Amino acid sequence: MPYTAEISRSNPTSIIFLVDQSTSMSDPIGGEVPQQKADVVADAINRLLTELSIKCAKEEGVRDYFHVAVIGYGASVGSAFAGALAGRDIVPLSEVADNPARVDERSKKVSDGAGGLVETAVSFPLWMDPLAHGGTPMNRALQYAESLVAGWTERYPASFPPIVINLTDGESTDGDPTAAAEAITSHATADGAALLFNLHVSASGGTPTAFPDTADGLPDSYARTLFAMSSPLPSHMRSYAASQGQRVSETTRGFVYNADITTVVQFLDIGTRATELR
Amino acid sequence: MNVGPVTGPQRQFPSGAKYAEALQHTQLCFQHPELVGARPELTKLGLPRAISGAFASVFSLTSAVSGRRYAIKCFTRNVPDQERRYQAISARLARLNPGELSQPWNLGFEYLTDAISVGPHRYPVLKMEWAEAVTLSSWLDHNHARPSAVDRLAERFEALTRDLDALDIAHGDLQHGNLLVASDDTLRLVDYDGMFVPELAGMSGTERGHRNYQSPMRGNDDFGAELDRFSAWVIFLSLKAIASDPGLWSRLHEPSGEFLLLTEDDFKSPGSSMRLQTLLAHPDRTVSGLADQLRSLAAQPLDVLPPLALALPKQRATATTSATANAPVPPAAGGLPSWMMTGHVSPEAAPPPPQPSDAAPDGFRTRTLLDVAAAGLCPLMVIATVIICVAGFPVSPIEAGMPGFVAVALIVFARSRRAERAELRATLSKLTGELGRLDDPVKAAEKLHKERARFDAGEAKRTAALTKAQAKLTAHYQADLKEAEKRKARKERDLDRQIDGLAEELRKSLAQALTNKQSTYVRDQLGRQLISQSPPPGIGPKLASRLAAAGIRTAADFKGYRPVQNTHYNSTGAVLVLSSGRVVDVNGIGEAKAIALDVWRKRVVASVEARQPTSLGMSERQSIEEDIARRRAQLVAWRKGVEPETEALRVKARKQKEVGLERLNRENSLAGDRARQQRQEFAQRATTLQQNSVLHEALSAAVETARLRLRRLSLGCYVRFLYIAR
Repeated sequence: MPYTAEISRSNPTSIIFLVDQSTSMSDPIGGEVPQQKADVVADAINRLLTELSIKCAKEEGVRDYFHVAVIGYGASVGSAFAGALAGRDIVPLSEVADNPARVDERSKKVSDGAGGLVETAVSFPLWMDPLAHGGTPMNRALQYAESLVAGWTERYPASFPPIVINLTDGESTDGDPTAAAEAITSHATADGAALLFNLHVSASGGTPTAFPDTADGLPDSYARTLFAMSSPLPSHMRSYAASQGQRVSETTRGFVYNADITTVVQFLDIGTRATELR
Repeated sequence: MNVGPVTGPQRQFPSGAKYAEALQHTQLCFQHPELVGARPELTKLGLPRAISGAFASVFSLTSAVSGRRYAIKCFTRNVPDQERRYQAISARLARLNPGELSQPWNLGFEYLTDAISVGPHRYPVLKMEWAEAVTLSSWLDHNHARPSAVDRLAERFEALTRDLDALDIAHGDLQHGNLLVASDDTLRLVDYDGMFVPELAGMSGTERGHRNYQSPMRGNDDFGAELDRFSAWVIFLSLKAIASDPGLWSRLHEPSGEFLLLTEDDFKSPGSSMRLQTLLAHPDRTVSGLADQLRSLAAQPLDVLPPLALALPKQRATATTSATANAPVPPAAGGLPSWMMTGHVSPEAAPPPPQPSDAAPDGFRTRTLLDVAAAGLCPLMVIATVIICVAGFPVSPIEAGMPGFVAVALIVFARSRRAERAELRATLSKLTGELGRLDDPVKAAEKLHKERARFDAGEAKRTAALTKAQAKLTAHYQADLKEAEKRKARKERDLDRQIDGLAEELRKSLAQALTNKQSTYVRDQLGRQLISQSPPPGIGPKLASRLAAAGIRTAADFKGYRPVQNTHYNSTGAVLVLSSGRVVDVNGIGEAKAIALDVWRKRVVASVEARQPTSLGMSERQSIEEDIARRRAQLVAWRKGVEPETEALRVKARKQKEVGLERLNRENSLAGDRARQQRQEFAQRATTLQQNSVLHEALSAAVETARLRLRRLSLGCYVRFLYIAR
């Protein structure tokens, strides 16, 4: 059965984030306090990298269960890491955990235990900054990811296959991305084909849709294209999504449309939660 | 079909990162007096440091009040009946009498409900004593080369399992990460999430334990006192094996592997397991015996597995004999425990025990009668030779050397009867055989590489062909569209011209109709002008009747005359030209009369023409106009039809393209599936190859070792063994 490989240090898996950094990512996205899409996405990735680092932390430090790449695409296509990791593509998680670009202090209201709230500063490690400039060369980004996936599957033929997560507002400016997407999922390890999930952070109308099994009801052609490109969720991710209150079916795909901030974070959590870590 | 959670949405717990964030302010997140304001251990980024598992993240906190260090376990996933379980376990462990335990393996803990605030909610934590100890795997990393220490740890581990067994407690997840070794080399047991205590009997399990330590037969719901049995055998075998042969740690354990010497796959398919084979073929009988037991245990249901302690009297015997060399040991069971002699394992499975087991298999062991005889006889032979030579008996040198030769022959013979040699030879030939059955990993890798390259080239070609075929379809479609447009333009132009020409046609038709009407009128009127009624001068009734006889009665009946030369009389005559163009010669009508007739006719014509109609009648006009309008309508309809006709062509072309593209996509998706499968197969082969190459290496090393050992059983060694027993 595919997608059952144990994720261990000798058989790690890789997660490749593709982050849309085009000008349109400066548009606002819904929520109580509207934020720029680019801010929401960068925040979600930074949060997720913290989460992964803690999830994989053991006595001796962070274990390399995951190898992570964050690729931005906008005015150019390439590593979106800032600071010490700038310019690197796939980086073992232990290195990621040790090398954020900086640790920000953010103020946050915390319960004081007596029914009130107090303003406190919490540390927030950052690996990438929000950016919104240029076109949406999604094809080039997917091709870049494909080259990473190809090299990685050859190096780790027995591992859980790589997961590519594309966060975009949908409108590729360098042609139909379908073929490039197919090229990614044609690479496989002994445990199955590489997975491609898409997160469409469109704030323009349409009902928010998470993990659909058909393209019916998706409002525009970009959304339908991204849906068609997305891999079906492997069974363990399906059951995890179900336990998180998502409605899923056997043919549910790793696709979210018109996500709000919470859904973005939840989607990343579901998409990166592979089988049990050892 | 919708797959939803069976029991409704579970309670959601914060993630590890959420806890780490909350723990940045322990004066706010805790109210417990020991924990409020406690100092968390930090990472080098200055964030609370976590140690995470599948269900929880553990943080180290030092109390601001007491200065004591605690491990605080924060749950990230729901565990059913969590509080009840922990209370029961805590109560049971608290009742333990430390004096009755083999070592202080249990750690105190407290389950605190609603102890930590994360966001708007409060969650439970487990507050545990901090154990200053290292995990079993990291202890082995540092200590595997100290056989006596490892052996002692194996004994302690066995004692620990005996404690648990006597108390009817099972840990549920015995493994290298949950067994800690303290600085005095005693064991600590941590992580009680899956623990079974008798008070929890009847509940189901919450976890299945580490996959590299579990019996393939362990099910999701197994929960009872026998949960640890299989893991205990796995750990004990590993420790004993490392104690006997420290090299196994580097050969079978991977530096970052989540196992000791054996993994899940080894239990699931022992036949193809390189690791298990290595242990089964190990020269140390304790190791191979335990490995053999484990192999048979893996195929049995959990509840019939024997506790480690049951097998131990004999194991202990063999273990202790390794310390006291050459002490005879009852060899009957061949290292097998008593319970295994009752049919769990066939006799063939247990290798015959030619010698008592010994942890140091190099060199010769106990002397046999033959050895003693050889040892006794040889010096006698040598002395005999010396006496023969010194006493100067009259013998040839060959005869003198005879006793010496006999002595050598005896030693050679006695050595050849030694079981150690036979045993090593057998091991060697078995290993060589296994090695021979393996493909050369380098060649196999080369082959795989070549096949992969060929496949990739094929894929590149296929992709290129697909692009080409798609482009061809698109080009064809565009050509069809172009052709349809051209056809449309041509038709429209033609119809427009016809429509534009209708006005001119109307004019012409009207003119033609008027002309027809006039000529009809003239012909009609001329027909009414009878020659007999108003004859021209010179035409009397006689001539008129003659003319009538020739068919000329009215002005309409003729249209002129033609003068003729009468050759007979050399005179000029005339013939009349009928309306039909025929000429008639009428007797009595000469040239003068013909001219008169013609003049008459012309006058009549002129007078009729003066009276002829000059315009068409209303109805005549209407009919012509209607006719033209009908034709216009038809042409306009045709012109309107051109666009739908073209659209139909476009649709047809598009359909053709779509059908073609669909076919290509279908083919491509099939080919893509095949390619994926192929790539998966390559990956599988690469994995097998890696394993084979490790196996190849291990076997080669084993062959090398066996050869070395065989060489050590040399004649010299044998002689030394005969006299000094070493």
